[in-house]
Amino acid sequence: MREFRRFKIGLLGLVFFAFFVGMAVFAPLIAPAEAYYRWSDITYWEEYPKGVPPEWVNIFSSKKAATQLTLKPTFVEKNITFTYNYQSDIPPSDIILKVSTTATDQERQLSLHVSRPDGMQLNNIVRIVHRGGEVRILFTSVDVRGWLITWARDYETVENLEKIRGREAFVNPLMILFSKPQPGILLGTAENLKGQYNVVVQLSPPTATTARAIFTGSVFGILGTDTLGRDLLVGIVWGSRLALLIGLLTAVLSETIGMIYGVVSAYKGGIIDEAMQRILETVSSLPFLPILIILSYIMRPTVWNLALLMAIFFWVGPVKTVRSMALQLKEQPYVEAAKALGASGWRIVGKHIAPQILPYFFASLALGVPGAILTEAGISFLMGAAGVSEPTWGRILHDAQRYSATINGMWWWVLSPGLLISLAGLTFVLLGSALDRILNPKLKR
Amino acid sequence: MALLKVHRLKTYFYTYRGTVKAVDDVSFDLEKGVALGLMGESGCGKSTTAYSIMKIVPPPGRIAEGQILLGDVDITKMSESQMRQQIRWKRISMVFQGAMNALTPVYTIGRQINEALTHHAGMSRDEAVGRTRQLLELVGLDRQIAQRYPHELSGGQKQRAFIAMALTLNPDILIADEPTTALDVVVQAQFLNLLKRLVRDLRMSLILITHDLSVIAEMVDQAIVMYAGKIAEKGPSEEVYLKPAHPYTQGLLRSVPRLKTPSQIQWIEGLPPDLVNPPPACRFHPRCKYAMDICRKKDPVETRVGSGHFVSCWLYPPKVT
Amino acid sequence: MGYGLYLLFRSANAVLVLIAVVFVSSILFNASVEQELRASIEESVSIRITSPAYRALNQTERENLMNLWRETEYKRYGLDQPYWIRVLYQARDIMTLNFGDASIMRSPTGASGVLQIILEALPWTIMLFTTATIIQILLGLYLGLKAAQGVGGALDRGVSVFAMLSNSLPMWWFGMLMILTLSYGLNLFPSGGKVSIPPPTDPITYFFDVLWHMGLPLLTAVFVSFGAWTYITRNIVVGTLQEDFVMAARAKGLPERKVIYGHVLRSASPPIVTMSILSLLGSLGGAIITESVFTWPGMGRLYWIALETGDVRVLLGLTFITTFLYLVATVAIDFIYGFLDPRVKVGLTGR
Repeated sequence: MREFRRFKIGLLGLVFFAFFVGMAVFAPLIAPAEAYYRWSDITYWEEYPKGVPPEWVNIFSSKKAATQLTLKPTFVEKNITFTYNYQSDIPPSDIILKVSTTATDQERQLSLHVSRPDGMQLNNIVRIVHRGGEVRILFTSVDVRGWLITWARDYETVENLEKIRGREAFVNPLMILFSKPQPGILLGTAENLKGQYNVVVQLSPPTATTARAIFTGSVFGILGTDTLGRDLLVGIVWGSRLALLIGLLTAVLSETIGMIYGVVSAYKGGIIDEAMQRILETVSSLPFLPILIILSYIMRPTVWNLALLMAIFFWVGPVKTVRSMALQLKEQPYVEAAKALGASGWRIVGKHIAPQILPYFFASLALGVPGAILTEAGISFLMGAAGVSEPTWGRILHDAQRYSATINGMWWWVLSPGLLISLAGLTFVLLGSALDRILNPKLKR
Repeated sequence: MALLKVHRLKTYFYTYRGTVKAVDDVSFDLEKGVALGLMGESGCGKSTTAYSIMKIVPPPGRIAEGQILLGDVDITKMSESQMRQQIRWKRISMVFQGAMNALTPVYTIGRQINEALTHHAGMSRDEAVGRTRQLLELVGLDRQIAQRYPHELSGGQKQRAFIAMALTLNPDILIADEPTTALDVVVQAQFLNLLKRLVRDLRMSLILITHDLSVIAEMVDQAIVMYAGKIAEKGPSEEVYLKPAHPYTQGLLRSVPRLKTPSQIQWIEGLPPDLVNPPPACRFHPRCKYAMDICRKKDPVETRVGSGHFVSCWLYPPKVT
Repeated sequence: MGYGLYLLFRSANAVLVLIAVVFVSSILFNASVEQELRASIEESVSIRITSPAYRALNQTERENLMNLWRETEYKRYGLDQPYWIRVLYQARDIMTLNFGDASIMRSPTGASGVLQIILEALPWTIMLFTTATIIQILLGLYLGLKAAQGVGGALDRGVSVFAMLSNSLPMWWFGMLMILTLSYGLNLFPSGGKVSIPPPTDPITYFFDVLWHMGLPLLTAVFVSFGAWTYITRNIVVGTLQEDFVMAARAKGLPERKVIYGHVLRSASPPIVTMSILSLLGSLGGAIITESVFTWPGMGRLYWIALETGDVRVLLGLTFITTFLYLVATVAIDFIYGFLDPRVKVGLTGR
């Protein structure tokens, strides 16, 4: 039985299978569990860049995008300084400053300044009045952007100013900050200004406890992020557990029920067989997808529950073949002999019929997995969080569709989940085919 | 002049396991109106020889060497379309082993017979229908059969129908490949009688392929015994039957149970050889009780042992002239 | 058992199945929709409460008004009757082909009759999926035949590999990829919908506009499915080619074309034809998900909208029609198979 190493197909299937199992098992090592459990929690993903492609894109493009960087400050009297060395071609997607001071009743002031490598000093970009606690400044916020646009106007041509009239919300403040003061600065077409930037937060009175500056990358991670800032690697890696689970569970349940049903129907024969076949026909005529969608909507099932639900429809699959196999076996002389010897129905089935069907069972099991994986993916794709309660690969694609990833060219968001869904399906198809070929000598070609 | 002359034919199958030398240097002649029996164990190359004559050897098989002369034309040199238009079914036709599956299940018998007529002989539908009826009568089948499908006929009926189909274009040579294997004894006898009658009445040549020796004795004028792709012995059937020269032929004849002789059945020791790596020199030597040293070293030469009777065995060395 | 009696028997069987399906669907759809509708009604009521006209009334008047609102809404959605009554009545209605009116949905032309709504969506699904199915059957047949004739060769192995790969792809995901590459990337096709906005007025341009919009979904549907078809055809033909009668046909001196298209294909036709019919009629369900990805206004998308808005009558109508067609197909298949393959006896004894 282990000789399917002979078949290259089986071998490939095994390799893929090992890959997925590895991913599922080692998930906690690759991506922190907490990230997964807080998948829908926006606050967790605050400091991540929103909707950026994976880092390795930099290898292929002539323009290098800035990667994620968190800087610690240097404290000098009332100034908190972050020194950022900008050497990329595409600036960071955002700069997030977090400054914590002790909470008080009095009003304090905080101001933001930036000094650029070309010597230009941007002062008092914003001034914030606060009473301690954490103050957060985002460079993509309206205030900062507005200030930078105003500052950049002096260097821009009249035509370009016309072009952005009324569309200020679409101007990228980071591009302004990291560009030379030339025409095109507001359009993002001006030349890059590389070098050392100092981002300074001035406090009065100077009483900071901690401070942090996050220069969120324009690329991130191995798989990029979605528009909510979620690291797709986390979703993908942890999703593998669910995919494997649902595929295998559904397949095992439906194949087992189907096999038993088929054998019993064949063995009992006569009226019982006819009745069972009628029931079979009815169930297989039910439109399973709409019903599953509705049930998911009502029940918001976990992956385990969904497997059960799917099994309710998928068990009909193997019955036809199992039944015809059992019918043939029933006619065999040794079954007649066993009956003549007084063996009970269960014994005959268990000892003579079932073992012959077992090889088919395993091949069929493997081949049944992709269907379950694809169905769950489809349901999650349609319903998102309103359907299956855990974030699966299908759910990631749902979000992609919802946030118009395709129309906006966020290929990394669409590619990885779908690719893995396909691969997972393919894995079991390969395994199943190999098993089928070994265990079913009639088809040896 | 002989109607068919097979000269040093070699048909090999080129498989990934190796080259299977199914037919390895076979030569014989067939005259008009003569019934020839081709016999031997399963896998000795008899069917492949027949397929080679019609050039329908299935891939990965191919005629590797040799000539097949029909009249004075070497058909091994003919193209597929020439074979189709001039030879197949027109001059040589074949009745297959197990007509059970040789008839297309989705067409009626009549349609299948008509096909050959309308296609080759350019007959109109009506002409074809008439001729079909004639043919069916010829083989002793009711004309209603034309409307039936193959699965509605018994084994014997199917074989007869197939003969009818094989005779549509009045071929010079009819090859019958193990035609009686799937039939029971009574039907077998009927069938063979039919064949005999047809051959006589239509003055057709027949190549009858079988592993059943009793059939040979009855039916054919000439007998050829094949072993492992080569001809062991050939000659008039009476001679071969009553005075077998080759040890293999002798062994075969001895292994047939007879009602009258109380003697024990003796079978031939050993197994049929592997045709990818056949035994060197005489292929039969591992199983031959008379095997000599030379049998292992040199291929036996064909020698005359009687009128028209030839054998390839070192027990009969060629006379030095 | 003659054809006539058997047909009757199978049809009766199919009708029973249809009834069962409608019932089960009615039960489920009504159950799911109930909660959702109640919630949304409450919501709409609570919005109306904030209007100044309402505030001007006194307590009793307010209560009466709220109850009136509730009642009208309930009546509108049919919630005024208890659950089981609704289930039974709606099931009965559908089976007597009384499709009724949709509670919420309206067809693009504004009609409210369920049948009307469905019939306006049907042509779109046929246009897309039935065309796709026909293309993939023909393509699959041709390639499968070619592959089977050259067994083990490059085309054959290519076909097997491709079938395996393309079958694992979710059609809707592939659709997303197509949109990404051909619409966003190369700007060759629109990303969805059936027609541009605003739609062209001239009928010929309109026609081509629709075709242009159909391009991507059609490509997606065909690409993902034709591999499996080719593989199946190839297998059937390969099996048939090994039969003796093929050799016999060749021995008869028939031209290869006649052997392949006449004898081989004809013998292989029963399973191929029955699968084609099943496929064609199955396509009418219109893949719910794929149509949603492309916002294609066919029956699949209709299903999804009905699910979202909770319009039970539309759901039941759709389920009825698709199940009906599917059952018609299964019964027809039995007969067609028997017609094409004389070996199969149609009837109980043939099972």
